[in-house]
Amino acid sequence: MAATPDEFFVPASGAESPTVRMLTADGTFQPSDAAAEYLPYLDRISEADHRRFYRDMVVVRKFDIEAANLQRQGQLALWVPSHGQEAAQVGSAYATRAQDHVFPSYREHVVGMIRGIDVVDILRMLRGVTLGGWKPEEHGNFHLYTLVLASQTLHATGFAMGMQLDGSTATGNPETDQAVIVYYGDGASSEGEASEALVYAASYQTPQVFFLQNNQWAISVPVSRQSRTPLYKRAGGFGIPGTQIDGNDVLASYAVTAKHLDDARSGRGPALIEAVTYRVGAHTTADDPTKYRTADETASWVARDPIVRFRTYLQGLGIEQQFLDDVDVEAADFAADVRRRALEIRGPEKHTIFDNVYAEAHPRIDEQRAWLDSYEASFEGGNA
Amino acid sequence: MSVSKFTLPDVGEGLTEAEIVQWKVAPGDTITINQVLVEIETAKSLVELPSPYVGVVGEILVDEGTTVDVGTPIITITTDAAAPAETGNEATPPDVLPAGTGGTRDTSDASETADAADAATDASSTISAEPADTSSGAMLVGRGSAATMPTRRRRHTGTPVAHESLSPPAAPSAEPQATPLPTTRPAASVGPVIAKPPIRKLAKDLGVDLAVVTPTGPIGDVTREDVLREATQASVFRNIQTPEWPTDREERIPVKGVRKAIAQAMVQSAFSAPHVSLFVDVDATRTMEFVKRLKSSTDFAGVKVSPLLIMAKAMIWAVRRNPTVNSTFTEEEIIVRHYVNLGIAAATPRGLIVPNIKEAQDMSLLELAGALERLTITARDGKTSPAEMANGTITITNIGVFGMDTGTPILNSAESGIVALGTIKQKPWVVDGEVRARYVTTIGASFDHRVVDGDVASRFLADVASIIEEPALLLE
Amino acid sequence: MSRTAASAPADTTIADPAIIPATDASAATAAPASASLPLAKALNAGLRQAMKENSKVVLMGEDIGPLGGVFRVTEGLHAEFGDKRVLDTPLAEAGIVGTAIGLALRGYRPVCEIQFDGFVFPGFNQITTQLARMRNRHEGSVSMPVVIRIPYGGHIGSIEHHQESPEAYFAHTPGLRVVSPSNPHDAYWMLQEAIRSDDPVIFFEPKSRYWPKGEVHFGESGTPLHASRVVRAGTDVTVVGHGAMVSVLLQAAEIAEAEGISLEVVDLRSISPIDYGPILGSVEKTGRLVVAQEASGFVSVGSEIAATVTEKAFYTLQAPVLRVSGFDAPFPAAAVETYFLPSPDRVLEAVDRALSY
Repeated sequence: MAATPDEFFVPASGAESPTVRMLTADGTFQPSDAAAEYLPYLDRISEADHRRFYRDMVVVRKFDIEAANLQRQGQLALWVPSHGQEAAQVGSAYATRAQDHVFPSYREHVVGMIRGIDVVDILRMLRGVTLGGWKPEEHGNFHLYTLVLASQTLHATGFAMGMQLDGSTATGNPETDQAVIVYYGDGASSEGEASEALVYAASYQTPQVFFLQNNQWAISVPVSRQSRTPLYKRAGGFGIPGTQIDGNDVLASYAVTAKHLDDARSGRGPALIEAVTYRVGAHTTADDPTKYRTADETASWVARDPIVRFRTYLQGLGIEQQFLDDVDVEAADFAADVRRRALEIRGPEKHTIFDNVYAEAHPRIDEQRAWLDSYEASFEGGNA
Repeated sequence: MSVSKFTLPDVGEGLTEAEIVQWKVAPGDTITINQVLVEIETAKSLVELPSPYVGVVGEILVDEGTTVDVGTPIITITTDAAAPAETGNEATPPDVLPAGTGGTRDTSDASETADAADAATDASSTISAEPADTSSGAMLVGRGSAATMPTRRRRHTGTPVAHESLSPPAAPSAEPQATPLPTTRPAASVGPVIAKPPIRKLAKDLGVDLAVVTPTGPIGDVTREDVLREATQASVFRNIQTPEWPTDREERIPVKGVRKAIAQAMVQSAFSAPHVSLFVDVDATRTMEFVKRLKSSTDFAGVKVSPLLIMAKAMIWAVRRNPTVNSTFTEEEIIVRHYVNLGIAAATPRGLIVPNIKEAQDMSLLELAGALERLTITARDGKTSPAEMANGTITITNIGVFGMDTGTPILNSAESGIVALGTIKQKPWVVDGEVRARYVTTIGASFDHRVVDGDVASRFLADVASIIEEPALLLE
Repeated sequence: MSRTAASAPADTTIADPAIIPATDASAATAAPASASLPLAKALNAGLRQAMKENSKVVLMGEDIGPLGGVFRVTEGLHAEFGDKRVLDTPLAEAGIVGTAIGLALRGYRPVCEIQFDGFVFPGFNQITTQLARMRNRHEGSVSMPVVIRIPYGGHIGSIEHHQESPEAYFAHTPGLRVVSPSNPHDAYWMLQEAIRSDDPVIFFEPKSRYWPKGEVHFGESGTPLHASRVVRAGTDVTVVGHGAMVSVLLQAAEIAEAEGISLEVVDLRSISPIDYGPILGSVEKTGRLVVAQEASGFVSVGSEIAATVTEKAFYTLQAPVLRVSGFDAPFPAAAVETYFLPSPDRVLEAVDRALSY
């Protein structure tokens, strides 16, 4: 029951192909027909941007592997790999502007990194010391991970409605007009709340991009169980433009997201982008993909690896090997530093159970906090 | 140089054990961080475990094919320093993730993160859980060995168990200890009675009025013992249980000791003094009200107040007005005493005794109350001395506690009058031409007719009754 | 202040909104000190006042705009404040609450209307997993000043899902506050206080009390949002309830008085947190407590009160705490709702039982 790469791709050679792709799987710059209207957005990318895209994809992959190893060593309860989805996330993240707000699901580690979080803060959640981990307003408006699938789509929509109400968008100035991008996946797209978010977004014409990473699998359930139509087509049902991209093509991810975000912030309403990619790793480290998909299938997607394809492209542009080697070293150092800092993560005090349940004083909270203190103090060796 | 042990972690949400399938390293191998050490099989799947250390493999502690619990040390590694070395390029870093392990649970909610480390581990020492440090209550990631016996944390001795209940009405004089027979009655007795539901039920079953019970509990509450003590006094006068018929045909009780003395005294009294008994019904409502007010008075806070006290006072007053009832008949002379050693007939477990309050005529109401209480307690404890029982001049017998309306009391030896205080209960009574519920009692009395004639007897009894009807007459 | 039992039949005349000054402080000096209003109009006045005081207050819900809400609670507000302050939403409760959360993150103070008690459940996920927890998840760096208004309760002879009492689900959820006014004065003030709170508040409006009138004093509330209050003094048994139940309890007290039994009636007002002070003070006096609620009794707010009062007033209780509740069956067809809902007779049956101990 595995989804094959082509099941939701119309073959790229067809004139009717809706898939936006600039880089083929082997790293050749060969825009698809559907990519035509997005090509001008590539003009915004400089050579330095190319290096940033590449470096961030490599670093986050290294980080990903390190975190999985930490889990296997008993240092994290769980790790949520983003392995294979780097291009979809890096490209779209770079398309956001500083004033935008980003609502992730729980797998967008490199988006967070690009927006300014310390990825070790993600590990704090997985090490059980926090349910959040960072303050969005201090880290590029990258909101907290939401673990109830699709719930964040409504928060993002409401937030975008707020932008409209306070006039922070659609003033004609893209440098300051705000927009919202919300990430979710193929599994989450089945949730009713995801559809409700599209209803509200369409109704109020919010300044919002829905970035749906179709990584083919919702734990063990293939996307063919979620939908009988390519997911980008659902947007049309709500009256919202929907675009499918090759999610492993960082240039397509950048260009399409940039266009739709700018459309959104200029008052042209919301849009949905389906980034077709693949979850090379397990759903989380508690999962075992060998139980429900074949090694061949995974191999076929590894052959479409986003980092390899972009490296080939850069090499074709003449990028120096030293740069590529330096990136590998930087990534290894980054991972080692994450390891060191992860092992230093310390737990919160027990009073954090009570500290932020309510904004205002609450009698039961006060009683129970005091009770727990005296209960703990009643034990030999206990501390209040 | 230090030797570190790597213990088997929980790689998938509460797994408790795994089988060592294949070691990928051997003793003496130099290894890097994340190098795959071993392949294990869990309940769910095959998992590769990467090394958290850089160093040299020391000893393989568990053979292939063996199943061990999570938390068991499986390999030792000799490392150079406390922190894992920053090796930069590992020799064989895996480019793909280690093979997954089982578990198809939707981990999109944060439930697993509750398992994660509360306190970090020190990389140079054992990581993953040894059986947890239970004093903090925290488990490291990877559950501890399941084989240890559960134990309880030790509490500081003398930790008070905090009671979450209404603080009792303030009892400024009440001591919080439960002294068995307090001589003070906490002011709590005038407010709502504090008693746990089972105690209330016990009191109800035993017919004990909680309001009259002296509470001795730590917060001024009535305890089980308090109720039983009150009931025991009553149970002397009333059967609580219906026992089975005895299996033997008869029981023979020897007449000796107290029983013999009582018998002799009774015979001597009954068959030497011609007894005449009189009875009068009286509206005792004002006495009851007076008793109630005394109970709430702070002056009387430390002492038991009951209608018997008023009766005692009434008796003494009536004796003043009718002295001849307070006398002894001998063949030659009638000795009329000008002091009152007031006898109180007391039923004790060993039988009837009549201790008396010496010089009762000189006592104030408060002093009399105290003397009455002490006499009662002493008698109940079986500690009444012969001196206390000697030289009585006139006696009260309280049969009201039996629930009896009245009776024909027998004179105490060498006395000429005895009054029986009956039960005081609400009965219809005519007040100002209307029938009303009033507290009514029958006062009975017996006299030695050799000394006391009918008119004296009547006037005496009428005097007693008039006090009971209007205690204010005592103020003169 | 006097508290009327207000057992009058539904009063269909709508109080003239002009009674409430619609302008600003200068007119306030000419404003009346009080007015007799139906609870629905008191809520309307409270919303208007809150919206005037804080421009970040926005109303959202189905049919709350030009229609003014199916119970007319938001009548006139859309006309006065416009599209950007009063939003008719698509028909999707998860959407209402979820977008309200987004607006709250953006700094707004949304007041959501859920059309009927039985329809809150599509939004239950957003209320419990998100709204109640956002502040905690963010370790205090965000607040959720969201009010969710829900008409609830029976006695209106309506159809399935329109007469529910789901308070317990929300009271059980840490991070939420839950309140329910029983009379117009409390409705006017408690709604404003809920809107001012930086915590999420589930605001249960007893729909069977929407139209009976009561005196609203505009000077001050007189009672904090989360306080309970003795509304009728008595000596023999304490009875406590919230929302529409309070008027039932007051009726029961009238009947009991004629029989020589004196009931002390406590209006709970706040379901979470519960203010036990007046309840315990009353129980100390009476020794007996009856808790009454329309909701099904199993695992209910009444169960919580019974357990807590038993723990805290153990020594002064002369009888177990008794509960009078709806049965543990779905709210029935309206034709038999009078069997289901606690009536004065049901309350008095429990009072009799309490007194029999």
